[in-house]
Amino acid sequence: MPSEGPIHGAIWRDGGARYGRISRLGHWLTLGLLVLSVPPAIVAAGLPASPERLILLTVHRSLGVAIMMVVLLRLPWRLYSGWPQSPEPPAGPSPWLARAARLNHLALYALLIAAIAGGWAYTSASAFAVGLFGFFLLPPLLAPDKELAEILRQVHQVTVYALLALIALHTVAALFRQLVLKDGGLRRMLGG
Amino acid sequence: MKTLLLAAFALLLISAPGLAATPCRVDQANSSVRFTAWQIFGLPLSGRFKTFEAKLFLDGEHPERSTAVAAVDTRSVDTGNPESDEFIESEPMLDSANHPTAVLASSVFDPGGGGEIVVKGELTLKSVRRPLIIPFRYSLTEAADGRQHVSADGEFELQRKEFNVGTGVWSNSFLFHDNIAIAVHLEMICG
Repeated sequence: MPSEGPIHGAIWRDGGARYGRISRLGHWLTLGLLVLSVPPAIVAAGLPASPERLILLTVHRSLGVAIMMVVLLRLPWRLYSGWPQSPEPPAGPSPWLARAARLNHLALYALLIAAIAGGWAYTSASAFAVGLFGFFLLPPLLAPDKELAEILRQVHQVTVYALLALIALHTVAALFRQLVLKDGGLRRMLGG
Repeated sequence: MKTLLLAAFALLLISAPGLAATPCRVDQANSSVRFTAWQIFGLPLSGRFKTFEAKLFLDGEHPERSTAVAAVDTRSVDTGNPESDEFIESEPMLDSANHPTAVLASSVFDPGGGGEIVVKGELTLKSVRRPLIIPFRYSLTEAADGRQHVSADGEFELQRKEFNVGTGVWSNSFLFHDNIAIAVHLEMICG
């Protein structure tokens, strides 16, 4: 491996209480793709078989694959890079808040994976192919099954709503820390 | 299914098989007619036709004189997803309600070497009749009862627009690619 100056590498890697560029990029990329992926599915659900429905669902599934790729890169990075600790009080959050935040982070990862796996399984059970905008195809997770597809549709929906609820909680917590506690909680992820 | 084949047999009678021809019937349970279409971004949509019938009059001495006719019930689409089935059978696609039968009638058997044969004929789909060439790989085996079994696999592509499959907005080649792959597997018992 070529030698990399500690100062240069430090921009990308996490360190102490700080999130590096790779962590921040993964975080905002996940959010951006997620925000783009949800509306097409909601709109398509109300449409009959039509080109619009076909395009919206294909875009939705492709964005799901993109989110999966980002999450699959974030997980090993988090394991490799460690989890940046919040500053100790009084500068940082109280221990219970830090612990709640950590639990929510774990739940966010778990629900992201569950939402994507559920969507993939639902699509496979509905006998549709899953791919990334024509770049590649993923194998079906399951054989087509009408009854199972209906169950998986509901599972996928509930999982995504739960994910969105936890994202809301995550956002409120970040704003609370930034605006009320003034511990720089939000700025850590903005790179300020 | 009998009525499905009536029109097909009428076509076959025109090219009456030779005296040496042995009639072969399809073992439905072990045969299949499958298709793959490609949607936006090349995502495959695959399925099969559950109901079909085929007759082969096999001329052992002069294979080129063999004749075959097949009929597929276009109302029997099975993709594994009832909504997709309904869509494929709908008016812009196969219009199965008005065109419930697709018929393939052979005109020439062109025997190649090594278990291959090219069947030339005509396909009638959605009331459009067009020439079609299907290369088959086949094998002949003799069953315990002395009857011949024919196992044949043929693959070909249809240009859907030639048969008006996908009209209106669905004629868009980006939404639905023009080519549709068909794979036929036939297990037949002769005599």
